[in-house]
Amino acid sequence: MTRIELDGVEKTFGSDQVVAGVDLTMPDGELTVLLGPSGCGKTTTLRMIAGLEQLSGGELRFDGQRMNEAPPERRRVGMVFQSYALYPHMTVAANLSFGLASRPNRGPRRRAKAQERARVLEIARLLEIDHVLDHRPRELSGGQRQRVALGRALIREPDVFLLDEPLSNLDANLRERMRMELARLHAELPITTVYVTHDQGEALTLADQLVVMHEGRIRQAASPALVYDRPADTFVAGFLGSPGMNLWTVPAAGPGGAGDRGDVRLASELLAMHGVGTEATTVGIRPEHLELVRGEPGLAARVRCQVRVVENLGSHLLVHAALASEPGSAVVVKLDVGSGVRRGDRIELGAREDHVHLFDLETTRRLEPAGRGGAVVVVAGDGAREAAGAR
Amino acid sequence: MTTVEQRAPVALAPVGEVGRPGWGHRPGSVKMARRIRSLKDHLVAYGLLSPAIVVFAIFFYLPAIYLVYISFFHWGVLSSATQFVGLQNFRRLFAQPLFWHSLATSGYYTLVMIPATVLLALGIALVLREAVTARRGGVWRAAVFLPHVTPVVATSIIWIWIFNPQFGLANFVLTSLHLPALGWLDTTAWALPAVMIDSLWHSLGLYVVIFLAGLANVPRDLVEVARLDGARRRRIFWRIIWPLLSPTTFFVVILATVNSWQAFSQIYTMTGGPHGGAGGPAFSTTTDSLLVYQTAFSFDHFSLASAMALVLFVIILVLTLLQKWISNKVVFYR
Repeated sequence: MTRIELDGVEKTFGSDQVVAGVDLTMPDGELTVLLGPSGCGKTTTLRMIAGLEQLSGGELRFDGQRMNEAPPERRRVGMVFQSYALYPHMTVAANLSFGLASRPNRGPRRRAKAQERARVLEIARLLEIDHVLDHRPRELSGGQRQRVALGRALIREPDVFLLDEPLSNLDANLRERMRMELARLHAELPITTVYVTHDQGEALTLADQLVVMHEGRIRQAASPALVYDRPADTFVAGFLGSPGMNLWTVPAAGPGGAGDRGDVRLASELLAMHGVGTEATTVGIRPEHLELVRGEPGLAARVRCQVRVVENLGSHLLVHAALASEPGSAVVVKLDVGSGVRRGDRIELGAREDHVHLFDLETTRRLEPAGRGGAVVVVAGDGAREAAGAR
Repeated sequence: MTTVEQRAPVALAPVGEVGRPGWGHRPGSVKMARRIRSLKDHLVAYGLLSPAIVVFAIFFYLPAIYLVYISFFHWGVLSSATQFVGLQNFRRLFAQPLFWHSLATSGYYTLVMIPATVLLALGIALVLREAVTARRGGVWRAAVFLPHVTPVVATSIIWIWIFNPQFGLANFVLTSLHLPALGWLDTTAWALPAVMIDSLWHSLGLYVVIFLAGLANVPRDLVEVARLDGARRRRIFWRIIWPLLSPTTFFVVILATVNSWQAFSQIYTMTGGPHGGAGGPAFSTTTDSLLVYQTAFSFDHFSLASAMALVLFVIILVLTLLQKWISNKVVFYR
């Protein structure tokens, strides 16, 4: 049981700053997902926690104890590599027991061996690989290799469990099943877990705490629901969701009042609530939150656009459109199959007040409406925390 | 079928048969055209290979075959008469104590050289592995490889000076370490070890580079995961790196075996010259390959020397097959 703290952690390779001041607490027994595009520093952060990379700056603590200098073999960390890194020349049983047999004080040899065998069998049963214990890794399927890698990391009962894109080498079906099993495993063995992925599906379903990283910095760290519903900046808004949030930069207010922004019309109460006057700003609405407007009053945002492509995905239509006066802009919306929208149609879309997000044009940060309770949101920049609700 | 027939004239175009009447309508002609084409391709390929084939045939295969041939004859460069003698050359050979002595010397030389080569080359490669990834790593690699590029004869002459009992560097080092000075090339006990040191110095660079390549092929994440598994350096080496390196080690052992049995230039250079005929003192450095040379070129017994070389060939072949057989049990191929 371990709480992991990262305090201004930095990593530079030569003149390349890969991790640029990360502050993060991973609570005891929880599963933290580091999510971001490739090259965002998430794997490097994981490797620093494991001790495979030295910190260039800042401090790493396990339960308040500084770990910067501790070698990996002393950190009681179990890790699953993206490549699984199974010992190819050993059987599954030997792969599993290698860590047990590496302990410095094993005690009497014969008894230690018997205990190790029992433990191997126990963990193999838990992961349902007890029938392949005599096989070499190359004789196993992808899913079985994955389980062996998990078992090897778990067999020594680590304090910290690290997973580096563990599912990325599996095919889609197997990935979904293993994702569920990982969730089950974490529920059964509540070890502090750090999970690195670039797959937002995995991130949203598995995470207790979701950390979105970009260019070596944390853009937001919160519960998956909060990150999805209230993204801290335009990067998080566009990155999360499939497809990501629609983001439009709307010009300064026109003659029709503060809400008159060309093809986008915003309710003046909405603007006032966010402290926005007549200046240009960024508006964000998720594709699933836009709906065809049929004269309903009271919608906080309305968008006029022209349909370019309609994709029928069976369960819904994915409609790609452009703002009516700006052919280069993009509007993506999920609509009912029965909505009858066709290519070339001019349509008007609308969204409810709590589904409209406003972002500062310069800083790209979220503008939080006044009066809404603020959860702690970590935003990039100087690595400082701020209560987003304080705005 | 029609499409093939219609295509035939196109396929024939390079052979120059397009204009011939009725040509494209006979099914057999298509096959014929293909055959001509493939023959042409083969001719081009063999044409391009021929310089290499000719050189190899003249300088490697023909002499090797001729060697087997004359080992069954009485044959000399200066004597014109060639007479079939059957196995007589081999009988004479096996009756000669010096031949058995030379085999023992070669065996001793090989048995010392193989472990010394593997230990030193792997040790240096392990140290260098850290250094070559650092800045100027290439300089280290070049420095280790450099001796292998130098001519054996030239550097062996330098080693004669190093092993000079009166003012050589070797004895200077020994005496400064308060160890007794040695007679080196002048003594029967130390002449061969002196040659071994020269050979090791000369050949190690190659083996170090081979081991460096082998080490680079051991996946880094396996070593990392072993560290996370709590394994210390020694355990990681013996349980992870050593097994995964075994194909490389096997390759080095084979190369070292062949090179040791065939060692010649350094022995000839270091034990000849002012010391009289090579292989001394008192035949202590007369290895098999040196004896082959001397029998042929000093005593003009070419057929006897050929028989000797054939035996040497068989020994190396058997050793290599033996190693191959052992390797199937201990070498791990991914």
